Amino acid sequence: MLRLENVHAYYGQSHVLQGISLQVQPGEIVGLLGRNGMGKTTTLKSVMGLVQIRAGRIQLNELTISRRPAHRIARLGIGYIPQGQRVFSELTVLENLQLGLSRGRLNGALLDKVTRPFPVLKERLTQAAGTLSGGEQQMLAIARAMLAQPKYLLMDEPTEGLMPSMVQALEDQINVMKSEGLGILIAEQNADTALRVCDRFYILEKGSVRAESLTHETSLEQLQKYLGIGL
Amino acid sequence: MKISRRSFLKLSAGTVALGAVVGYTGHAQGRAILIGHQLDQTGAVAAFAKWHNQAIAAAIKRLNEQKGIAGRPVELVNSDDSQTQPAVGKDQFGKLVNQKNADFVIGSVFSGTNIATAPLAKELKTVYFPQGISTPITGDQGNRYIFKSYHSVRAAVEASYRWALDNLGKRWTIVASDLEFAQSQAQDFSAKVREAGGIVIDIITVPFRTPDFLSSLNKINLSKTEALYQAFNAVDTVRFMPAAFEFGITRRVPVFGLIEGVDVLDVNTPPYEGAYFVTSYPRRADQIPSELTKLDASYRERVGIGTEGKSLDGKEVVPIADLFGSWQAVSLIKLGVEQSNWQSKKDNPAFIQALEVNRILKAEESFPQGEQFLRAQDHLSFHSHYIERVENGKLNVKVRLPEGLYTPQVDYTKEAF
Amino acid sequence: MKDSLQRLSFAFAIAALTIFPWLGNSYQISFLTSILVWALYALSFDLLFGYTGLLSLGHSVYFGLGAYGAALAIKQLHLSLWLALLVGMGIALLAALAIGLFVVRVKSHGFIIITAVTSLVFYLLAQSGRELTHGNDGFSFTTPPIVFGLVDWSFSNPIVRFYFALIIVTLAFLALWWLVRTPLGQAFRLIRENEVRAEIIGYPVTQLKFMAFVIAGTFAGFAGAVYALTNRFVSTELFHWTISADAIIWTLFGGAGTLIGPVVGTGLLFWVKEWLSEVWKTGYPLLVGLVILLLIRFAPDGLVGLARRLIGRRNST
Ligand SMILES: Nc1ncnc2c1ncn2[C@@H]1O[C@H](COP(=O)(O)OP(=O)(O)O)[C@@H](O)[C@H]1O
Ligand SMILES: [Mg+2]
Repeated sequence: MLRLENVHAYYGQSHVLQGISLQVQPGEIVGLLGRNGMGKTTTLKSVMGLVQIRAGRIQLNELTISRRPAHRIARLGIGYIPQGQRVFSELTVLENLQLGLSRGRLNGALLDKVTRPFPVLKERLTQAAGTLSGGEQQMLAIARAMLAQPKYLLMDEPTEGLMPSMVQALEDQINVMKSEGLGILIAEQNADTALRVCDRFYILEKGSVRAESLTHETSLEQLQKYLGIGL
Repeated sequence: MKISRRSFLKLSAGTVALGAVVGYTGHAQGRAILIGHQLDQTGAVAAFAKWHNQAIAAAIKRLNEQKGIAGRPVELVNSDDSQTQPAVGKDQFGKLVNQKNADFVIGSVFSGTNIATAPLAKELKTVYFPQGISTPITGDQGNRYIFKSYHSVRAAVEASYRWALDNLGKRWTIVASDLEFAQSQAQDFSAKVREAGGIVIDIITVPFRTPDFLSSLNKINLSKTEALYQAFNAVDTVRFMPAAFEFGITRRVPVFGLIEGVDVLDVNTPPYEGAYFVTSYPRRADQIPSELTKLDASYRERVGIGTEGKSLDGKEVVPIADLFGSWQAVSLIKLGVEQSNWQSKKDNPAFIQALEVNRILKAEESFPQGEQFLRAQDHLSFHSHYIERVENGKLNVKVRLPEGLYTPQVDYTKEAF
Repeated sequence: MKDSLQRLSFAFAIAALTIFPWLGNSYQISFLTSILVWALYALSFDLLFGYTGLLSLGHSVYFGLGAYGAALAIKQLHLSLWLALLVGMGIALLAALAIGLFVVRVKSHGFIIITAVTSLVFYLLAQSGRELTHGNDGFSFTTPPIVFGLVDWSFSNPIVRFYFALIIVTLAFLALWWLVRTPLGQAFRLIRENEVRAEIIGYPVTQLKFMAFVIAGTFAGFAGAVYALTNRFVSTELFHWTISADAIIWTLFGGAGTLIGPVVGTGLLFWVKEWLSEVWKTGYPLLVGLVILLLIRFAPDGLVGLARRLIGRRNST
């Protein structure tokens, strides 16, 4: 279980996370929803160790991971797909994938497996990743993250800027990962996606959890109201 | 590489063409003798170097008007900018010899560059005439390929310390730049003061091109000091003297030093008033000893120096004494070539042996500074010194002193070629 | 295919350099020797800048320490040539370890500033330690000959100096060629592209930067030691910040992030400087400034990048 307990974080003087508590179980997809600037990204960065928390605790199963360097946290089994550009653009697609493996070479079977949901990647193996479209880069980032076999995956606005067909493929893949037992924490502004894939979600407002609920208890209208869309 | 090769070709072509012209006019024949100049176009000694270059050119012109050297024309080859940097100067020496085919090289005025170049001169078996005056250049830092026709720091100190102790004071504070040339003075002068029973209160070392002299001036113990010895390169002197003046130091104690640190500066300003300098030649023509006045007039005319020691347009102060080193180096080359029947650089050992005999060089157009003694052991020549004092903005000779002969530190004649 | 072309050009370049002493005069041989040495220095800088993305303004520190280490090992301790080389490199290594510990933690602009400060501090230290360094005036010394069996090669021979530099610089080049292809070299490049991304996929970025810093400093010290041995003269100018700036200029000019770039950049700029010194003295800084501006605007990957793109375009049409 990945758990945040009363986490506080600051950027200089500004108190950005004001006591966040949340948890993600294996095989569960959890949404972290909220309008722009509410602290979703900062929460993910805190888990990853990219932002130092001032108070509270972050635990991976029995292990307290707060205050460890990011690379350690990654090696402990937490994958992170940040917002925006997510791949090493100067490396080829294949080289990016290879990075997912901490040891050994990428063999044919493994390659087939990770590219099955995204056949387009297989056609572009020797191409520089920077030349892929935004959606393709997102696919590549996910495929790379999967090769590292994390226990939990943090995704920051994965559907941002994607074509609808790509959004579909992405949602399918998220469900596949879930079925393999991965716990996924998704920061989202897109209420549609959140309702379709998440089992549960937390709604952030000004750095604290305003509400927590199960997906089947919530309607799109309610959620959009929270997120300040369609008002 | 292509370009260096091309310039090499150009140079050879130029030599051939010049040879043809000279041959036609019938003044001199044979391949030209190339005299290289390790020229600092920029940096602390650039103002000196420019005049040295002019003096060499004038000396060469004079030779070529006669029969050249042993009937061969003489040509000046300048290095690229040596930048008053030992490392650069050393490389430029290599280029002068190996790329520009200089037969002899007249060196930089910067002692650091001379010391860096000396081992290379020996390695390339090329006779080198350094123009810096730091004592070790003709001591343990020099070698058999080094000749100097102008004094060393030690000779100047040896010639003048007695006068300074008798007339200026017994208790000395020495303020010296950390440059080789200035450190050499601090060492030699302090040794002499102590030897003669005087007292060295303090030796204050100042970084070259220090942004301010305040802290150094503060260290001078004025209540104990009777006289101040200053040793700086001109780029520092020009700031040190006004600072000392503002501190009131120049009025309280006599200030003494070598002219080499001041020689491109106009002393007609209050900070220099009353200061004493050891010189090896009077700056102003009316101060010249009578037996040298005729030579003086023609030397000034050939190099382009006015009677007050300035350039003909009156804009620059010329380091008139310093230039003898370069002028007379050309004369030494002529002497050595003619006496050894030198044909090419393979005759350099013979050339060196011809010059390294104890010899009096008479005052004449080739040695216009006055009669001098070229010593065999350390290849150094010794000449008269003067004490000059700034009075009403002008340098006046107070006394003429003998040459300041000292025990040689080395015997190059025993060194292998 | 591409690799075999690279190997072919490498072999060709080495062959051309090997026969050079038959073609050039002593000055030209010495000139090429210093290009080789400085190219190695530029290469060491490129490992840090081009490969790892760390812009250091203090690389002269390690070159200077390497040079002085070797020079003093010979002058004061009378050590052999090879030991002097090791001493120079060792001192640079120690300094890079000590300094690296502090500076690699400082990010982006801070890193540039703090490394500039190290170069300033070492220059001033070297200047004030006149008894040891002899300041700007520097000192000369005699490099011990290479002796084994019947051979006795003196460093007063420019050809000996040239081959010594050629062999050493070639070996160092190959070592760097190997290094940048190892997983470690790959990790350096990930840091250059995006250190956060490298960190979140599990690379210990700070430790890796430290390693890059130390390796680059050691190679710079090695270059400095070779410089001292072939030049047989050192002065505190070697610590000056302009020496750090030279590394940046040569590398940017030739092409950062490649091994051939710094070598080409150093060689060409030396040659241009040499050529201009006879035609137009003040031209070099002006011209180099202009060329660098143009390159940054139109070919940020330097001459090598420009050449690659031109060749690539021709092949694709
Ligand atoms: N590097 C930063 N420095 C200072 N403030 C920041 C920084 N990054 C984000 N913030 C501020 O922190 C708050 C939360 O930001 P963020 O976590 O990015 O929100 P979200 O991901 O929900 O849009 C915002 O007010 C934002 O302006
Ligand atoms: Mg965000």
